[in-house]
Amino acid sequence: MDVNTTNLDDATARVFVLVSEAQRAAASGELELIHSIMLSSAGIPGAFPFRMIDQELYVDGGVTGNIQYGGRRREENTIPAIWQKLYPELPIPKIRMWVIFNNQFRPVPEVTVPNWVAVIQRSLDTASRAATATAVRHLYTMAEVARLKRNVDAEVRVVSIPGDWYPPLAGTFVKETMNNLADLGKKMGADPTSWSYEPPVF
Amino acid sequence: MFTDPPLAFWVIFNNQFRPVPEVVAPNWVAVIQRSLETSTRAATSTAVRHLFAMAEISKLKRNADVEVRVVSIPPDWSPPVPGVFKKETMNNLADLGEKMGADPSSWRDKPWEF
Repeated sequence: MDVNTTNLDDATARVFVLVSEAQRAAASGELELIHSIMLSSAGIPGAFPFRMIDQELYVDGGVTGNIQYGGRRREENTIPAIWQKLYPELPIPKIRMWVIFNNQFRPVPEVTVPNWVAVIQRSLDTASRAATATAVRHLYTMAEVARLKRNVDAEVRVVSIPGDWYPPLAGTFVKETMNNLADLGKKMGADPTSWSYEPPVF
Repeated sequence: MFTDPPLAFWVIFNNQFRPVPEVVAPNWVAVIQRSLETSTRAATSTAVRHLFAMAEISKLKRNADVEVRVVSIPPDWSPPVPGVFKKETMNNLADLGEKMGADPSSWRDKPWEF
């Protein structure tokens, strides 16, 4: 299991492999590092605290990219291309990518208070979601390139909180809202039609 | 009988795709400022990679003649003085732009890995 964070000093995404970090923490008895990794991956700027890891400043991975999908690789360095190079005689196995985005792709419209704090908070929220939508669209195009160029059976399925959902109460991490989301998740999880096979359009 | 016209996308990004590494002060104002800057540039990188992939699909699927060319401020450029919209920095950038504009090899025709 990987945990995505952003090293803000270096301005890049930093993915921690949680299993090896947990094994290291269990062996040394030093749990602080793994706590910091977990908390930094939830450190949405302006909402939750940043963390210092090895004297560098870390925040939520959503700042550089909410999903890790190999989007930075050139086509010739993707899994289908590498497979074809290594095993030219063997067909590429089916590839299926499942993306669960625990948010709405587009923030609910609201009247933003005309002050810096509200504007910056809303800007970060909007920027992060718009970037996620672009990344998901990119993932679909990468799958299409793999199909066309490498003849691979590649599928992308995406689920997110529906665009017409509204929190029952205002505020961040309010109990009623979290319970409402948990109920929604259970209902959507039980329904195969919740998965979208098309990139988000808006 | 018509043939598809060639498509050429030229992207001029008047920034660096990745902010220059720096020690961010551990306070909210600095963290939020740096986060917004990092977020915008990372999103631009993703959008440009998406554009390259879309062009590739057009070539593979529609047999289109598509080209994408991107230019940006090189990653090894550093502002001569700190601060925002400083005269020395803006002049330095204008000189760099003139130099790069005169050199066809400034344009990149492949996505990058970083």
